[in-house]
Amino acid sequence: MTMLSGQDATAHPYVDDTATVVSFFIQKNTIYTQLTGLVANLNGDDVIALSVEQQRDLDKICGTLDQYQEQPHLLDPHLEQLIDPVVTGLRRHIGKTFGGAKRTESAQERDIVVKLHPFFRYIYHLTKVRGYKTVVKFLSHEVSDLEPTLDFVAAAAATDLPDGGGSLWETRYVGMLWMSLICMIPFDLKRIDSAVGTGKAALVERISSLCKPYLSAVSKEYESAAILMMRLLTRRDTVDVHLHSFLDWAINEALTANDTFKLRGILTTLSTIYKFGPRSSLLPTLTKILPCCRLVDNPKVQSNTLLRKLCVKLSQRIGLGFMRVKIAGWRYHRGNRTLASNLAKTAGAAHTVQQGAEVAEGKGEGDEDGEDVPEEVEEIVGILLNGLRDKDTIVRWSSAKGIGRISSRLPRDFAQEVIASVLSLLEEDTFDNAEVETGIDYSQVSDSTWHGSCLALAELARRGLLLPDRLDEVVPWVVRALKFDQRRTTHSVGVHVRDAACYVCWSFARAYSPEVMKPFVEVLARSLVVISCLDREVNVRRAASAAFQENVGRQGVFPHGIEIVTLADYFAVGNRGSSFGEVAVEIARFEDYRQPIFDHVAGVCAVHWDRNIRELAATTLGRLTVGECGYMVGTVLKKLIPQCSSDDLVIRHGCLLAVGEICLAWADVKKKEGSIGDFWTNEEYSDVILPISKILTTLPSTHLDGFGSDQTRVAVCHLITCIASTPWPTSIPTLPTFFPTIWNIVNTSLERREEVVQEGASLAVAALSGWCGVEERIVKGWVEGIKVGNWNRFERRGCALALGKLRVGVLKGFVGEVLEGLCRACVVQEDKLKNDAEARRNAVHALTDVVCAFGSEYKQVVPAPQLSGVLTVLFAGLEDYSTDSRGDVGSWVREACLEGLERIVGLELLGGGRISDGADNLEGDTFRKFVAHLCRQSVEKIDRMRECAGGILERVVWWEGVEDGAVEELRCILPHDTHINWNNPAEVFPKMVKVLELDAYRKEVLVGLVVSVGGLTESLVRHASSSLIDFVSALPESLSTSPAPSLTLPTFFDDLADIFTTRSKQDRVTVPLLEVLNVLIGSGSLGKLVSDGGEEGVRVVKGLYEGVKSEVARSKDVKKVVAGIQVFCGYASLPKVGDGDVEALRKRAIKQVVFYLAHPYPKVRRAAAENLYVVVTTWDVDMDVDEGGGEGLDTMEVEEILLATDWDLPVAELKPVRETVGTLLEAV
Amino acid sequence: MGLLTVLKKIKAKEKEMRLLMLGLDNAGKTTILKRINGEDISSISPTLGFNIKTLDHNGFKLNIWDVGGQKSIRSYWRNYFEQTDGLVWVVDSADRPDRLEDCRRELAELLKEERLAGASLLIFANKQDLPSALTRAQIAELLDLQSIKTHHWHIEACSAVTGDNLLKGMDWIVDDIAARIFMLE
Repeated sequence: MTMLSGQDATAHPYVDDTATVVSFFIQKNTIYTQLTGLVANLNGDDVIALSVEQQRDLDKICGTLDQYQEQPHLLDPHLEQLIDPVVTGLRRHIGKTFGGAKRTESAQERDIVVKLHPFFRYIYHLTKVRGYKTVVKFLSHEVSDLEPTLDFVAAAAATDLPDGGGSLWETRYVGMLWMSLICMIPFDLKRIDSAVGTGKAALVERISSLCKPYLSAVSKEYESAAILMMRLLTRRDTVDVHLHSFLDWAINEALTANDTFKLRGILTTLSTIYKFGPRSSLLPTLTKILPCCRLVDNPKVQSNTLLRKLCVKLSQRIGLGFMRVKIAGWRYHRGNRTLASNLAKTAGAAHTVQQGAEVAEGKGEGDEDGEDVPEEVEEIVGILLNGLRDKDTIVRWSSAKGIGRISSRLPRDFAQEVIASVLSLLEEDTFDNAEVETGIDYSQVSDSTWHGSCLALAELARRGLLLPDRLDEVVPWVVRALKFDQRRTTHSVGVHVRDAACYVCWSFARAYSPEVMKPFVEVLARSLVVISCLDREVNVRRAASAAFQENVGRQGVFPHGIEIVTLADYFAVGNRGSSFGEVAVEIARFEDYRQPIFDHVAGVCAVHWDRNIRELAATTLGRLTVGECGYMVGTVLKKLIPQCSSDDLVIRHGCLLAVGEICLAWADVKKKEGSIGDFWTNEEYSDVILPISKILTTLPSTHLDGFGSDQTRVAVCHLITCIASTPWPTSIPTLPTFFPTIWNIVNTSLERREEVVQEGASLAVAALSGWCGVEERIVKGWVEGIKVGNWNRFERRGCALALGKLRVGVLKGFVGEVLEGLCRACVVQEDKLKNDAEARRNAVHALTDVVCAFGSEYKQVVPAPQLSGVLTVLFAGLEDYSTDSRGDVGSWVREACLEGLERIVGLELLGGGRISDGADNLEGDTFRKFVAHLCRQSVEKIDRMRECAGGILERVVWWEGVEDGAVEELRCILPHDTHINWNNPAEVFPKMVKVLELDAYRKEVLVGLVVSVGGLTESLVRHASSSLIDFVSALPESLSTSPAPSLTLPTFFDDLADIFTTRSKQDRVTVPLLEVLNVLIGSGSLGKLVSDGGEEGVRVVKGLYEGVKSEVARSKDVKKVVAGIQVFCGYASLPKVGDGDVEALRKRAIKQVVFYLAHPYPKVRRAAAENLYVVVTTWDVDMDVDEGGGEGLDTMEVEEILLATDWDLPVAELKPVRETVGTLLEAV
Repeated sequence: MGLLTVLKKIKAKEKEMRLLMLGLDNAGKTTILKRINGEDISSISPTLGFNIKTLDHNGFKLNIWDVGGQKSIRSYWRNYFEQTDGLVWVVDSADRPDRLEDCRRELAELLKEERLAGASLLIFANKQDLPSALTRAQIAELLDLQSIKTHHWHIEACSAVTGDNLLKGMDWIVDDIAARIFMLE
C-alpha cells in the first residue's frame, strides 16, 4: 500500500510511553517488613546502631520510595504507617536523652544523634518524594517535645558523623521541620520555657539563634530553617514582639548580602512569612520590604534562576498583602452549586431550570468602592508581568500564578488592564507582513513570553477573571499558541507554548458555561483535535487530548466529542506512528475535522523540520487519500506540486515524498473502483499528471547535486518509485525528455556515495522495470559498471544493487551475462584499492535476488554449471575476512552470503521438494556444507554475525523436507521451540560446544570456536574458553571406554592440528589457534594425552608439534611468534614419561625456544627468555621432589643467565649467550 | 512543568475528587446526577454523550463524570491525567433478574480494572419509589457485594425521583475518599 513502508506506523520506534506506570503502592508489604526491622533498633532502652545489613535495607527502602517520585500521591494512604512507628521511637529517645532537668553528657548526646541519624535520613527521603508539607503533618506536636527537640537539633548542629562520614544535614533539616510543627502549639511560649527565671536566653531567642545561621546554609537546611522561623515569628504571642526586628534584620541582610545562598535563605523566609503571617501585623511592613522585590533587577539575582523566582514569589505575596482578602465580585462565575443545597430543594417542586451562565458579574461592583489600590501594587504587577517573559520556566510559572491571585483581588478596571497587558505581551515583536496568510508575522516573538502569557491566561480563566467578553480577543491567540512552532536551523522551539495553550483550553472548559463557549467551540475543537493526533511531541498530544476531553465532558457541544475522545485517548496518542497513521486518519472521517487535519498534515507536518515527521506525514497523506481522494487530488496535490521545486530542502523533500504517496494511493483507489489503465480525467491530466511529470524533468541541477542533494534524491527516487508503481502514462507527448531524465536521475543516484540514495534509486529501478521495462543499453551499462576494473567503487555498488532489482521480464534476456558479471564482482581482490566490501555485499545480494526471481523454476532458467558457480561464489564469500580501517568489513559479505545461501538452497524445497543426504546428491552435499558453515559462523566473535548465522541455523535445521542424519543430531541440540539469544556468549557457547561431537560439523565449529577463544571481548573469551575447556576435559582418552564415545581426545587434537594444514598461514585463525593450544596445555589436556593416550596420543602430540612449528617458522608477526614460544614451552614442560618420542619432542621444543633467544626482534627474545625461565624453574621443583635436588646447580646457572641478561642488546652479543644456555640445558 | 504536573497540583490544592457514575443503561445515572445538580428531571433521555458536573460538597470539589450507555467507556476512566477516586454504581432495584445478573457481572469486571484500584465504591440501589423494588439487602445479596475485598464499598437504597438517601450516599463516598487521599488540615 505505502511505499515508505519502512517507516510504517508499527515499525516506528516512537513508543514514547516507556515509563512503567503503577497505580498503587505495590511494594507496601516489603517496605513495612524492612521498616519494622529497622524500628526494632529504637524499641529498647538504648538506640542500637544500624547493622550493615540494616543500612542496606534502608538504602533499599529509599530506592523503592524513589520509584514514586513521579506519582507520590500513591503513598498517601500509607504515610501514617510509614512515619508513625519511626516518629514514636525518635520521640521517645529524644525525650529520654534531652528531656528532663538532668542532662546527660554531651558525648553521650552526640552518640545518640549519630545513631538516630539514619532514621532522620529516612524521613528526609519521604519529604523528598512526597513533599515536606504532607510529611510534616505526621510528625508529633506535643508541648513537651519542644525543648528536647530544640536541644536535639542544637546537638546535631554541633556534630558531624564520625570518620568523616559527612554532615548530619538530614537530621537537622527534618529536626527543624519538626520544630516548625511543634512551634504551632497554642500555648504561650513563656509558660513552657524552662529558661524563664534562670537567666538563660528565652526560648524564642534560642530557637532563632539556632535557625539564623542555617538561613545561609548551602545545603537544604535553609528551607526548614525558613519555615521554622516563620512559624516561630507568626505566633500570636511572638508576632508583635519579635517579627518586626527580624524583618529589619532580614531586609538589611538581603540588601547587603553578597552571598547568593544567604540571599536565597532570606528571600525564602520572607516569602513564607508573607504567605502565612497575619495580614494586620504585616501591613505596616509592606512598603519597606519592596526594595527586596526590586532586587529582581540586581545583576546577581538576574543570573540566578532560583533567586529570580523567589523575588517574583515575594512580590506576589507583598502584592496580595496590600489588598484585602476577598474574591473579586466582578468575576465570571459559572456557579458551583453545593450538592447539599441542591438536594435540599423539595423534590417534585417545579425546578427553576438554571442555565449555566449564573454570572455573578455586575452584582459585586458595588462593594469595591472606597478601596483604593495602593500605588505599590502597580510596581508589583509590573514585576510579575515582566516575570512572565523570564527565560526560565519556574519564574514564569510563579509569575503567572501571582498574576492570577493578585487580579482576583483587584477592582475590575485594574484587572482588565492587567489582562490587556498580558495580551500585549503576545503581540510583542509581531509585525505586519502582507506575505503571511494572517497578515501578521509571528516569527520573531519570544517563545518564553508566549509560554508565560499562556500560563497567565489559563490562571486568569480558571479563576473566572477573564470575562466572557474578552474571549473574542483571546481565543485567536490561543489557537495560534496551540500551533506555536518556531523553526530554528535544525530543530524548533515551542513545545512548552503548545502545552500551555492546552492548559488554557482546559481552563476554558472548566470556567465557562456552554453558552459562553459556543462561538469558539468549532475553532478550539478543530485545533485541539489536530494537535492531539498530529503534534510531534507526546506530551503535547496528550495534553491536547486531555483538554479536548474536558471540553467534551463539560461543554457537551463539541462535534463528535464522544467518538473522538474514544479514538484519541491518552494511550492512543502515546505512539506517534499510530497517532498519525491511524488516529488522525480515523478522525478525518468526520466532516468537521477533515479539512483541518488535511491542511495540518500537508501544510505543517509535510514540511516539518524533522525528517521523521515529514516521512510520517507523507504516509499519512497516502492513507488519507483513501477516504477523500477528490480533495487530495484536487486541492492538496495542487498545493504541494509547486513546492516540490522549492529552494528550501525541507519543503522540497517533504513535498516530493507526499506527492508520491498521494499518487500511489490515488491510483490504488481508482483501481479498487474498477478503473483499468488511465485513472485520471482529462482535467486531472493537465492539472496533476502533467505537472508532476514535469517536476521530474525540470528539477534544477543544484537540487540534485548541491548541498542536501542526498535527501532530495531519496525523495525524487521515491516519487519515481511511486508513480512507476501506478499505471502512469508511459508516453507524454509534451515531455519528450521524460524518460531520459528519469533514467538519468536514477543512474546518477546509483553512483552516489550515500547508501540511502543508492537504496532509493534501486527501489526505483525495481518499480521502473515492472512499469516501462529497462533498455538493453542500460542493463549492459550496469553489467559494465560492476566490473572490478571500474575505479568508481560507488558506481560498482549501485549497479550491483540495480541488477538485483530487475524483474523477471527484463532479466530473461540477460540471465547469463548478469550472473557471470555478478559472480566476478563477488570475488575478493588482492588489490586493496579494488577490494570494496560494499560492492561485493551488494553483488551477493543481487546474485541471490536474480536466482530467486525465478522461484521454483530457477533450474530451468539458470544452467547447472552456472548455478554451481553461484554456489561456489557464495561459499567463497563465507571466507571473506577482509578488513579495512572500519574493521571486519568482510562480515557484511559473509552475512549477505549466509542469507543468500539460505534463500537459494531453500529454493529446492519450494513446492514440496526434498533434500536428502544420499550418495552423489548435489543438493544434499551443498546443504551439509551450508549447515557446517552456519555452525562455524554462529560461534564466531562478532555478535551480529552470530545472530545472523544462528538465526538462519535455527530455521534451516528445522526446514521441512530435509532428510539428513547429521541434521537430526543438530535438532537435538537446537530444539524447535527454544531460541538462543545469539548475542549473548553465555548462552551460545555452552550450547554450541556440543556440536563438536558431530563429525559432520566438528571441523568447522572448531574453527569458529578457536577464533572466539582467541578474541578480544572479555565476556566472549571467558565463555568461549570455559565452554571449550569443559568440553575437552570431559573427553575420553581412547575409544576403549564404554559406552563407545563418539569423540576421543586424540581425534579432537587431530582435528585441531588439521587446522594448521587447512588454514595454513591464515593468521586470523592460526594465531588464536596457538592461544587455544596454550589454554589447553594450561588445562592439562595435552599432558593427559601424552600420559594416558598411548601411542595414538603420542602420534597426535607429535603431529601437532609439526603443525605449530611450520606455522610459526619464519613468521614476522610478533604476536604469533610469542604465542608459538608459549606453545613450545608448554611442550618443554610435558611430563617426563620416559618414552623416547616424547622426550625427543621435549628436547626439540627446548631447542626451539633457545633458538628464539637470539631472534631479530627484542620483544621475541624477551618473551623466549621469560617463558624459558618459567619452564626451568618448574623443573627445579619437579627435580627437587624426584631426585633430591641433585642437579639443581645447573638450572640455577641457567636461571641466572636468563634473568640477568639484557635481552635488548644487539643480536651479535646475545648469540654467545644463547650458545651457553643451549649447552647448559642439553646437560639437564 | 507541563499540563500533567499542573493538573496534579490543582487537584491536590483545590481538594478535587473525581467520581465516575456507572451502571447498566436505564439505571438512573443521569437522573441522580441531575437531581444532585439541582436540575429538572422531568425529561431525561438515554445519555449519548458524557457529562462532567462540578459540585461543592463539604469543602470538596466533586467532578462527577456521568458516562452514558457507551460501549467503550474505558477511555474515560483510563485517562491518566485524572485519577478516578470514587465509583458510583447505580442499580435499578426494580430490574429483571437476568438484568441484575448482568449487573453483578459487569460490576465484577469493572472492579478488576487496574486503574480503578483503590477507588471507593458506592452502590445506589435506585428506584426505591417503585413498588416492585428490591430492598437494599436483597440487592447486596444479588450483587454478591460481600465478596468484594479490593475496594471500600457501601450500599445505599435511594430514589432519584424523591431524592431520598442521595445525600447520605454521597456523604459516605466523599468521606471515604477524603480519608484516603486528603490530609486533614
